[in-house]
Amino acid sequence: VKKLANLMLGVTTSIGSFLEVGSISTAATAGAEFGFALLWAIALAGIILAILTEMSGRLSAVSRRTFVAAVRERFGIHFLLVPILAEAVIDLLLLTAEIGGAAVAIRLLIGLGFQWWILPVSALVWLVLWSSTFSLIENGLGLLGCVTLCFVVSAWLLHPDVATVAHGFVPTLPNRDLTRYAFFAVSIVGATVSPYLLNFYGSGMIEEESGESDLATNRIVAGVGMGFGSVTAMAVLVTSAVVLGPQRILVNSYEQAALMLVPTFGRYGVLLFALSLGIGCFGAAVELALNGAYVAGQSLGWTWGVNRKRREAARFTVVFSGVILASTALAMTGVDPLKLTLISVALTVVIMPLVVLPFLVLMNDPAYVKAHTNSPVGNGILAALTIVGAVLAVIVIPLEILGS
Amino acid sequence: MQLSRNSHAVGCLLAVAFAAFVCGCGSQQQEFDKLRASLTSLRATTAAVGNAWLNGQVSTVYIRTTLDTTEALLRRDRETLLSMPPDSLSDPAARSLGEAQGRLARVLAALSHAVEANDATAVRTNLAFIAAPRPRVP
Repeated sequence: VKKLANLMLGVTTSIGSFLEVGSISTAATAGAEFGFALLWAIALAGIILAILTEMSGRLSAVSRRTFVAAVRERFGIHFLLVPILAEAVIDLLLLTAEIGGAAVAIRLLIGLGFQWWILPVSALVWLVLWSSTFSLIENGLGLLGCVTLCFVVSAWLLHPDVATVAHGFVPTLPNRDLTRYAFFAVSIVGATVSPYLLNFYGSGMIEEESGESDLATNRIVAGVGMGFGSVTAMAVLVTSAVVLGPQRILVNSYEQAALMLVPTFGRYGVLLFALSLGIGCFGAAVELALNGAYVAGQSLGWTWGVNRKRREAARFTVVFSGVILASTALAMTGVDPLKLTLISVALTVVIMPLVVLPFLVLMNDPAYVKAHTNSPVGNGILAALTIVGAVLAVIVIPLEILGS
Repeated sequence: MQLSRNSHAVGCLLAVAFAAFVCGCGSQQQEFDKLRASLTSLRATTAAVGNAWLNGQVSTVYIRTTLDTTEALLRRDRETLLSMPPDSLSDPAARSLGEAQGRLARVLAALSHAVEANDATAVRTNLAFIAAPRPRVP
């Protein structure tokens, strides 16, 4: 019974923590501009994320090492340097966007410029990290994040045409704005398959002392949790397409995006949108700051872990504090959180091959995963991801300039 | 031989100039299209948020924030239009776009005052100036 309860909790928190600034922005903007046409991109990204998180969890549960620690051990610190630095830069931009998104959510409810809320949000992120354990962070924020299910309710109650929605799952080229369409397809994948999630998920397995006996749970949490999680992102797109699209409202600000829940929830619409945005962004900000410290600790061989006493892992504590400080400073310059999000998530795709390639080697090395090596299907997917990721890396920068 | 080389160079230069001209026209037209779409979107946003406020579906804080943001986005668009080459601004389509932006800016300012004064009649009157956009099926 306890195992089943843990499983249910894992699935629920995975669903609750799926939406954050990137997935909300890209889905809302894409829905308003292209209707249901980009649903396939969310579905594809959800499948990729489920596969990668399952592998990351399997690696950690069997080898008792996280992805970063395993890469460092297998390939050396020099190999690790480039992907880690690239990920650090993108994570910093994403953390800035998440803090900005949470600040905008407060602005929607209370008013004042969003810059005024950046410092309180950052302080709260730091306080949560300083005073919580891993399970409290994961379960608490994940359960609060279930408010994002309001998008699923909204999409359901809006009764979109089923045939048109189903057609959105078939990739088709649009008859206008091909560049922008491609930019959004890349951004949706980047927003969903963030490399930080892989290491964060694996680190969580170590923090919670999961072992080989938890592999089945890991498979279900990754598959079902991420699968249903991507349904919430699809619901954002569908709601935006049904409500904002016909009115020709483009999502150039979160204020415009917030209108999408008004027809379904009336006077609670903006409140629910702000709570979804705020909790989603806040949760992701905590995870990003924590992951920054995980990556530093695991790369440099320090004592790490949010479950440890702060004095025991002093350098780890200094890193997550420093990461929050740097992002706060960047956010306070007044950079537009929505624009920053769209740029960061597209750039995420650029570093994907750097992350996936070593994964392919590790997941086939019995020294790490014993008898649980990848199946040919798993390897095929990873290889395809590396190649597609490399191609996208070449085209994403011009797309960024032309499409954003 | 020399003549042929020169004519080659001239040909190349002309091709580059033509490509630059075509690209320039293309990007200018794209910019106009973008500004037109943005204006429609800002107008629709204003109408949607105004009507929602009149129906009691959104708070005064939210409408104030949204009107501020819409004004800021419109200001950015007007600056973009004004930064275009003077010859393109003399085009009737550009002039009419500029005038429409100006009208929306005035409506936004009037709406902000009306909301501050909690004057539903004035909000309704100002919203009537905004033509309903043609619906587009997703």
